[in-house]
Amino acid sequence: MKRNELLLDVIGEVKDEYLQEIDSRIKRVRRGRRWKRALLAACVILIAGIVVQFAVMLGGGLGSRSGGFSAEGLVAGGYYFHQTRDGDVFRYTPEEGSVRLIKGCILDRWKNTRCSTTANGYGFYYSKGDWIYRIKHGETKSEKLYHYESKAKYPDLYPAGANDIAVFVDYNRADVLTHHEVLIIDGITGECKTVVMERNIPYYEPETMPFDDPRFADKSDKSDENFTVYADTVTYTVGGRTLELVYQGSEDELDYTYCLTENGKPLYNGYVEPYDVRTVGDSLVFTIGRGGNNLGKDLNGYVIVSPDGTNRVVNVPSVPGNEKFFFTVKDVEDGQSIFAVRTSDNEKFKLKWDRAEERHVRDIYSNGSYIWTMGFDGKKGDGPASCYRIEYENGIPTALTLIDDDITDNNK
Amino acid sequence: MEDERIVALYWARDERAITLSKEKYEHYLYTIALNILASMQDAEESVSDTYIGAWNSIPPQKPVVLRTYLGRITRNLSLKRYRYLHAEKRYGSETALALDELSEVVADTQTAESEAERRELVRILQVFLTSLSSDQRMIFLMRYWHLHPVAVIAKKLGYSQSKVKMTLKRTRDSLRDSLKEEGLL
Repeated sequence: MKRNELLLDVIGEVKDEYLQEIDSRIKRVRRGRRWKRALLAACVILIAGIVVQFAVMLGGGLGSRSGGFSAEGLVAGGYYFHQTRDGDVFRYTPEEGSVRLIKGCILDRWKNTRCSTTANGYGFYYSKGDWIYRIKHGETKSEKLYHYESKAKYPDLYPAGANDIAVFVDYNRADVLTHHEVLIIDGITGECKTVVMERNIPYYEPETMPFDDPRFADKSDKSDENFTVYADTVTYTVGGRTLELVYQGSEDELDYTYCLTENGKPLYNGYVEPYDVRTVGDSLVFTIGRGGNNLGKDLNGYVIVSPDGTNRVVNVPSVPGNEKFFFTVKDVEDGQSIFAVRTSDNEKFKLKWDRAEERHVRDIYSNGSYIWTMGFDGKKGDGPASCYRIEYENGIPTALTLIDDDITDNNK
Repeated sequence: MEDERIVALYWARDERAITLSKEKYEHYLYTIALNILASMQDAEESVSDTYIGAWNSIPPQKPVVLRTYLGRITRNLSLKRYRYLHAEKRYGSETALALDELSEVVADTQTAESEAERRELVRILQVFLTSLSSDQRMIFLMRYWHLHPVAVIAKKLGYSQSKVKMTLKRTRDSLRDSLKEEGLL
């Protein structure tokens, strides 16, 4: 054995207390970050509230396109869904054009928050008031799907597999006590399959945040465990495969430290998000979390699990397209370019891009056949969403052809 | 389940001890093994062998902190496997990088390792680690016990990468000086 190898070996015999010292320190650093994030979030909410108040005072109003949140898009079931900053939701396909599903879906006019929406292979879902509503793909009528059991504050919806949705919600069950829950709702029947009560903590409005409250300043190692509970396992099926996301405990920066496993064996060396699980083709797409070996990396990737037994990891920040290609927009020397990322090996292919106009593209969305781009007009706010057809040669994406420069305008 | 209860199951030769150890620590052990071996397949073997090692050693061992006990087994097995797999080659894994760094402290020449030399090295190292500040010790062990990359150490401890690198360099220099004073260099 070489001497440096001997030294490395011998380092393994250090006292346990030195290793435990590391664990305690990491927990304290993580707790400090959570507290700072909560404080920052509270400050952001407070500042946003002040900005909105000024906008109203100056006559801008909430109906105008001043301040507020940007437009958003999502792809599911062969459709592209576009939510404008005013809360209108359009469903679009190049063949049918666009259909407005919802007008003005605003959750909170004072805070200028839109209703949360999501979609899966079965339908489009949104939360408003005491209900979650569904619009089945191909239809336009809203149906009530699930009634919140208590007054819900700012629910967030995510896809959770082929037909389910995950709903993150806070319930006020007492003046200051909030239950933060994750509901898994069957998107077909409306049945609530699972409730995970994640946090049972005092809730304060930002302006009354008790900075001296010992519950926020608690330095004991057990404080987080008393407050936060995560589901031990979250299960998904794809084809005949059963996947289990197993909670690993609070080892890293993120709360959601779930390991993706099959038959007890990890499929990915790192953490994945347990909710926000999309369907692409016949496969499930899990979003990579930032713990484990991804700590320190600026990563936004995915693990694709297919019914035929294959698993692929896309390590490039991108958006899902189809099972073979994901897509990303990058700033390059002469502006922006869109690349296709092959999921089997992460090789990138630059696409020839017949751009609608020169505005900066903020986001893109894709189903592998089309790409939708969301532009940004600077002071004017969001530009319209454009639709491009993806051209393929020998199975490789090569170019984008503009087919609609404003999908919310039915004049194609 | 608390470590004490899991260890009691080992002592009672109840195989639920293995299942519970897996549930609680498998990801932690995989992280250690993968840091060293950079291969899922090899890491899987190391982690599997860890449970066998734990089963065979408890009793008579009665670890108080099961996590570090199992982690130590995984680390030793993984390093052994690493040496076996990479006898003649150099790889860009964290282990190879760590060995390169430690060759600044002691040369990467062959040693006729004796039990006495090993015991002496352990003693000097323990004294050395005790003399370090908490920060220096944690950074050193996260690099050379856990084999974490510098970026991971920086993120976990809330430091910049340059601070971690500088601390490691100074600590290695101090360790080299300590070994020289003790006549081991």
